Amino acid sequence: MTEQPIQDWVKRLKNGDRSVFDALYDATKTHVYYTVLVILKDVSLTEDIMQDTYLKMLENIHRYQPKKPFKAWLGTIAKNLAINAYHKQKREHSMPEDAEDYLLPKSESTSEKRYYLQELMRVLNPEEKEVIIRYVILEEKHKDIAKAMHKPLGTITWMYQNALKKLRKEAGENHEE
Amino acid sequence: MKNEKLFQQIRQHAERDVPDLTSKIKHNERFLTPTKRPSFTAFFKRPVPVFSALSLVLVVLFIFILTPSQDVLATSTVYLEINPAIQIDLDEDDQVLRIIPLNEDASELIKELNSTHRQDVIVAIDKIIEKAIEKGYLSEEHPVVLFDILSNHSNLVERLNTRIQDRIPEIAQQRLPNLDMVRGNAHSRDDENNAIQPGQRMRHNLILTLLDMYPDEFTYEELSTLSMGELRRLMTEHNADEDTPPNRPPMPNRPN
Repeated sequence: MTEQPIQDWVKRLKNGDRSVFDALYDATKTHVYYTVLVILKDVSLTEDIMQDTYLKMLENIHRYQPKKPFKAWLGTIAKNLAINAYHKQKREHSMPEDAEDYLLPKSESTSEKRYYLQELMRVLNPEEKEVIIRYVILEEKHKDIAKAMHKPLGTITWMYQNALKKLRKEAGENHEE
Repeated sequence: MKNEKLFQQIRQHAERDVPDLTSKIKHNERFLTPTKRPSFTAFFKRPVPVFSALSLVLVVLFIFILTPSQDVLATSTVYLEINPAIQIDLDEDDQVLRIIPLNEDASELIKELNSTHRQDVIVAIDKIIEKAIEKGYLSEEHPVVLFDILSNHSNLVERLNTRIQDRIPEIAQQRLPNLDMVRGNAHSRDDENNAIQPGQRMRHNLILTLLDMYPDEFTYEELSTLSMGELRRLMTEHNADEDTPPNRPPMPNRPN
């Protein structure tokens, strides 16, 4: 999705036209969802924070300056809310060390939904999944991923290559590089 | 499989997994509340930011406007040697930018001086001479005022020299009738005399004046071993006995 239609919707939202919300949500939902998910590693909590992100965006839409891409601005709101939720969660309950299935919900009620990404990436360990999500979906650079995951750049590059090999093998088309 | 094809597949799967929360969001009362535009007057209803902003403005005003800047460059400088040694920095209109004491006596004198900032140099010198007489630095026994002028421009040097040469004896004699020992020199900063430092130049001028008075009595080298106080004393002795032919006065005793 290019930035131009998003900017038009944002302009209309600023003028109080809420009818464009669905379109704006659809254009930005993947970025927001995975921005929160890689921080919280909990699908149910991510949904709550995602909802809060959009409501906060609506409340503060007049503060948005079109010089910055809207997705990046929205991503910053999402990231800040996710970090706050992470610290709150950490204070109130101990966060699970093993986040093996963080692409799946913990709640039983939503378990009927099919999680396609989990199926595709089941061959990856949690860290490799995070590298792939950040690189492919959130379009972060390797050096930014290294910074976010507190790991050396070389380790991230190695994890990325390893994950690609596993994914190609899983897809049955493991070509020699 | 090419990377881009794989990435495309991942993106499609990722998008499918994102829940549709639009209905939940739209039913939230925060969604239904209209967005408030920021109000300019709202800022003034918050006492803490208003107070902080006002304090900041006052501090900036105090620093940049109310406090006279010490960094303003002087166009001309007048060195006064009455015994207290004083440097007066001037702007291009001969107005005082700052007065700097060059010795302890000068510090004492300047402490008691009324403000001379942005006053004409003649007014400032008048105040300094008045205070010097009051404190006993200038008297019947010590009636010597020396000055030295240094300026960026030769025309300013001439103007200042003329004004000071004309006005200082007049001002000084009103307060101390015997005071006729006003001697001075003036230079442009481009002069070769600038090889000598300002404080040293005053001393250098005093020695040259003494050599004029006692051409056969002293050499430059001899006089240059004396302190400013001793040089001034020699000059005072000459002034007190001006009608008699100059004889070599006794050289001051100096510790070995």
